[in-house]
Amino acid sequence: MAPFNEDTIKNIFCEVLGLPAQNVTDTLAYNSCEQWDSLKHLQIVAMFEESFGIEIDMDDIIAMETYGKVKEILHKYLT
Amino acid sequence: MITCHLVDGKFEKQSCTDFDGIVTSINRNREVLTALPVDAIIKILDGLGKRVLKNPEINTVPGVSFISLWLRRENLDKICQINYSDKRYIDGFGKTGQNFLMMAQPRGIVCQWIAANMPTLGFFSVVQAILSKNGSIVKMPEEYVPLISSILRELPAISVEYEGKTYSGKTILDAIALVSFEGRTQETSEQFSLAADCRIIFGGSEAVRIISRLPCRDHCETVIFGPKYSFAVFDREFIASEGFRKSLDLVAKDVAVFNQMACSSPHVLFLEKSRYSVETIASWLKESFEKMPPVLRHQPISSGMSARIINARAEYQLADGRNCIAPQDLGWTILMNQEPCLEEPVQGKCIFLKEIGSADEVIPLVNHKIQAISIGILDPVKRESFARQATYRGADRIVIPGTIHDFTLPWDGIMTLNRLVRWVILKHS
Amino acid sequence: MMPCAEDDRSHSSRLRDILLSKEPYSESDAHKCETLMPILREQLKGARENNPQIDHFLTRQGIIVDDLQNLEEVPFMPVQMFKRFDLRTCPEQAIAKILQSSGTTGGTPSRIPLDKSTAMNQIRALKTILADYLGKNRKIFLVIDHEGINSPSMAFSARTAGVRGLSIYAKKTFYLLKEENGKLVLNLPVIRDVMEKYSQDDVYAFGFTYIIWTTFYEQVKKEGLRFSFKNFTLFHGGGWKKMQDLAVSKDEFSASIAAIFGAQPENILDFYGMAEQTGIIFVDCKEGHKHVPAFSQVIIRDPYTLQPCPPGKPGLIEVMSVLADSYYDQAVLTEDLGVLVGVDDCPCGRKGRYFRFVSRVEKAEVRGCGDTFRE
Repeated sequence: MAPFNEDTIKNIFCEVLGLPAQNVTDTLAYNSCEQWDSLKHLQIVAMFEESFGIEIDMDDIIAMETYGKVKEILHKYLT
Repeated sequence: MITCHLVDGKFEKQSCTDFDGIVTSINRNREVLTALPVDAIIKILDGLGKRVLKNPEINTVPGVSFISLWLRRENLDKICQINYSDKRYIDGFGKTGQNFLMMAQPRGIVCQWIAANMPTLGFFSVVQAILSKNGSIVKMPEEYVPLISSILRELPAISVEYEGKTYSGKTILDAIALVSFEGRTQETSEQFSLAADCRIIFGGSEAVRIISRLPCRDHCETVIFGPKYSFAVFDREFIASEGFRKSLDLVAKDVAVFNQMACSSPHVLFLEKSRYSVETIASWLKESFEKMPPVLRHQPISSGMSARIINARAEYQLADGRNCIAPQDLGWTILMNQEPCLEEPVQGKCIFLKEIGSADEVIPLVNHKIQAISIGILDPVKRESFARQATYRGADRIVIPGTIHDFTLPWDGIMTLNRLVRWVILKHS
Repeated sequence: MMPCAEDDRSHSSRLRDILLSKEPYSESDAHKCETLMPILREQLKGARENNPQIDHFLTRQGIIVDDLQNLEEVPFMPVQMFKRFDLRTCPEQAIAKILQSSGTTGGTPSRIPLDKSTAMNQIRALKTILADYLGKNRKIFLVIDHEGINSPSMAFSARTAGVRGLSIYAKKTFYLLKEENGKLVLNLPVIRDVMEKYSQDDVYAFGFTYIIWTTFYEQVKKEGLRFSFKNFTLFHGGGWKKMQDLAVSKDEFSASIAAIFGAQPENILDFYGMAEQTGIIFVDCKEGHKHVPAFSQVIIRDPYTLQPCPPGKPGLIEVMSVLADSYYDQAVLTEDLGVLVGVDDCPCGRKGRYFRFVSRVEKAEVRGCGDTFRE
C-alpha cells in the first residue's frame, strides 16, 4: 500500500477527465461536471486501486460524488 | 440453420444443422471449469470488469460501466453469499450442522434464450451460469453478438493467482457457446431445448409461452424471466421532504434507461395529494428530463413507437380531465390524468402522473405482472407495511428512485444461481 | 380594427373558391403558405369555437391561431384520433352526414362529420385533380370491385370513398366484379358487354391495388381475357402493406395490368389518399411521383424530431387541406412513411411538391420484457 498523496490523486483526476489542475477543486462534482461520467468514474477508481494497491468498497465508489469526498474516502484507506 | 458465433474458445462464425458438436464441446469443457475454485472464477471476472473499462471498443457502450461495477469481487462475493449461503458449497462438500455434508453441483448445460431489448442482458445471464460452474449455450439476437463477443474476447488474456496456482480466463470462455437461429423454426428450437439440463428464458409473454412449451428432458430445470411492468409511488411526506426534487431527476433517469423497454422500467408515477399540484410536479419532472445527458435524452425509436407516442400525446391533449407536457421532439412525454389505475406502456419515455389520496390505494393494482415498485415513503413502519402488502400481491422488488434497474439478486423473485445448481448430500459414515 | 368573424369566414371561402377554380398543379410551392394560411387560420378559429376538445388540443400546445405563420406550425391531428374523438369543427346542426370509414384493415371506424359545403368542396377538388390527369370530357368508368360496396347498407369504407369520389367523372359506370358466396369473382356478362360496346371510347378505371392483383388479375389471366380501348387510365391505391407481403413491385404491377388492358404502363396510376381526407388524392404522374394539388400540402416529418424533412429523407406523411369546414382536416398526420422527392421541378411539368410513398409504419407491439400490467 502506497501512502496518501494528494498530487497522485489530482494527477489521476486531471488525466482521466482531461481537466487542468486548477479546475480540480474540492467542490468539483460528478453531477455537474460534464466530463465526469460513470465510465470515467470507474476508470479513476481503477487507477486509484492500481496506484495505491488498495481495493475500494462499492459503497465508497458510489459515495465519491465530489473531489473533496474522494480525498476524504481515500484518506480512510491510506492511513 | 444454426449460426454458431463462439464455441470451444474460438470466435468463428460457422453454420451447423444441430447442436451435437456444441454440446460435446461444452460438456468436455465444463468439467475443467468445475475444477476451478469459485474464488479464482471471481478473481478472473473481477479482472474482466477492469479490462472492459480500458477497451475503447466496448467502454463507450451504455451499460458497460454498470457491468464493470457489477463484476467487482465484492459484488460477486455477495451474489454467491446470498445464493449459496456459503460459497464454499460450490467448490466441494461442506458441513451443514446436520448428519450430512452438502454441496452445490452445477446442473450441466444451461440453454439461454436472450430477449431483444437489452444488449447487455446476455452477458449477465452467462455470468450467472459461470458462477454456478455450468456450461452455457446462449441464443441471442444477431445484433448483440458483436458486443457480447468483444467482452468475452478479453477472457483468455486474464490469468490470476490463487493459493499458489495460476488460473486462466480461457477455461471460462471454453464453457460458453454463442448461437443464433430463427426462433420460429420449430425443429431447431426443440433441439435446443432438448440439449438443456437447465433453460433460462428471457422474453415477452408470447415468447415465454412458446419456449416453455418446447419439449425438454425430465430433469431439466426452467427459469423464466417473463414480461413485467414497473411503476413508482411517492407519499405526501416524501414529496414535502428536502430530497424530493432530486428524486425526480432519478425518476427521469429510471424512465430513460433502456428507453423504457425493460421490465424494470417505470410507466406510472403515483403521487399522494400534497401541497404541490400535479402540474407543478410535472413542470419539475420536465426540467429533470431536459437536463439529462444527450445519450439518454435522445434515443433511437422505431416508427411504431413514434406513432404510439404521437397518439398518446394527442389523446391527452384532446380529452377532458387529462393533460400532456412534452417537447417538440419525441424524447420524453408526461401524461396526466386522475384515474387511479395502471396504464398500458407507451415506452420511449412516456410517464403517466396521477394524484391519489393515499399510497395504499395502489396496492389493489399490484399483481404478478408487477416487477419493481420504486417508492418514496419515509416512515419505516409505513414503508414496510406497504412493501409487505405489495409483495404479497405479486411485486418482486420494492426499491428507491434511481436504483430500479440495479441488477441485484434475487431478481423477479428468483435466486438465479441457486436455481442453477443441484443441492447434493453426503451422509456421515 | 379587427374584422368580424362572419366576414372573415366568407372571405376565406372566397379564397378557397379561387383555389378550386384554378388548375391544381399550376402554382409553385412558395405560394402555398400565402394562399393556404389565411383559410387555415379561419378554420382553426371555427374549430376552437365549436369544439371544446379541439380547443383543449390547441390550448395545451400553446397555440395562438393568429400567430401561426407557416404551414408547418399548424398542429397536426394523428389520424387515429378520428376513431377516438368527435373532431367536428362546425355547429352540430350544420352536420349533414357522418361518414364512418373502416379503412382497409377494419377495426374501429373513423368518424368524419360533413356539412354540405365540405362535401361539395371535396367533389370539386377531386374533379379538378381528375381533369388534370384525364382531360376535360367525362368518360366510361370501370370499377374493379362489386356494386355492393356502394350500397347504403354497407359501412362506408375506403373502397366506397374511392368509388364515390372517382365516379364524378363518369359518363357511365360498370362494376367488373361481383360477389358470389362471399367471394369476389369476375362479372363476365358485364365485362363482355363493356368489351363489345366501348372499345372505341375513352375509359378510366378504379380499384384497390390488392383486389386488382389478387382477384381481378388472377382471374382475367385464367380466363385469357384481354381488353382494348381507345384510351385507358387506371387509378389504383391502398393495400400496399399486403402488396409488400406479396413482394410485388409497383413496376411489375403496372406492366402486368397495362398488358391486360392493352394500355401503356404509364397509364396505370397509383395514388395515395385517406378516407379521412376525401377529396384529395395524390396521383402518380408518368415519372411515378405523387403530386400535391393547390388546395393541399404535404409535409414529411422526421419520426423522432417531428421536424419537416428535406427531400430524400423519409418520414411520417402529414397531409394538409383547406377543404373541410366541418371537421379537423387541416393537418392530419398519417401512419405512413413517405419521402419528398422534389419541389416545382418534376419533369412532368406539374408545380408544387412531389413525393413517394415508402411503407406503412410497422405496428410493432410493445417490445422487450417490459409489458402490459395485465395478467
